[in-house]
Amino acid sequence: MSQVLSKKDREELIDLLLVDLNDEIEKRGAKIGHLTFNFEANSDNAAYFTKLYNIEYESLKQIINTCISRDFLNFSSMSCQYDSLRLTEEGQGRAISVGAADHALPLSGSNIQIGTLNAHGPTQLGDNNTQNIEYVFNSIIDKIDSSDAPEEEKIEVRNLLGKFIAHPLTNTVLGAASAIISAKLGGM
Amino acid sequence: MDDSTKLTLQCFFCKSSSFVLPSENYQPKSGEQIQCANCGRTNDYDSLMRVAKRKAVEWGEELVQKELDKFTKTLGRMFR
Repeated sequence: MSQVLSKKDREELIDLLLVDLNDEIEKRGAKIGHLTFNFEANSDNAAYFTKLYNIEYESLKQIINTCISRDFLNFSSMSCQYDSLRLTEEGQGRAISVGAADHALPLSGSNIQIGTLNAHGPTQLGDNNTQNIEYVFNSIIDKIDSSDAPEEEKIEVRNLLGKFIAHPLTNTVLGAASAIISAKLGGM
Repeated sequence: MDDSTKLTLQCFFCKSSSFVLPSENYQPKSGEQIQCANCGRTNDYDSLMRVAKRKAVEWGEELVQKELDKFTKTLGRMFR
């Protein structure tokens, strides 16, 4: 029985196929109309893409037919053979849009809610969060200092905190705050 | 001769011609991504413009071809 693709899977596969074809065109520095792709059943492309997407050839053909129907791909000759398909401007446009969507900044001023944030104590949202990070670490350092724990334990905990702050990754994430916190810990 | 046509930008994903813009008269700039008001997916503005320009050229070529055909017929009649 042939594989039945859901609408969502089909759309995702169309995106993947168009992006892969466009990547190939751009890699070769070709124009979309100058490069054709062979998608006949026994072709290298058919073997490559069915393996890559883990689908049967009939499903790949279904994807290709949808692309032709929506003007993302067209036949380079009147014979309507799958051995010479070209990416169209619409197909390239979709491929570029899919790629660009990963790092696109929304233009709209719509409200977007990302989960719920429960804040305790002084809280600051958005950019310039250094102040709060410092506050959190300063509170921890003060609590360590004022605790009843033996002095060696306090030193050990401060050392561990110092190592954490000094780690390159923490340094990158915290930026300027890490230097301020290190100073508070005694220049670790 | 119908010498004007209306070209709309069409979403690459759902073919809708409605897009979400910050304000009514907002003009997207090259390199921007615009969101489809129907399916919500983002479209590369430059690619949308490229397709619209190609459609405009195709429309122009078709128009010229029609006029040429008319002209050829007229010439044919004149020298019959």
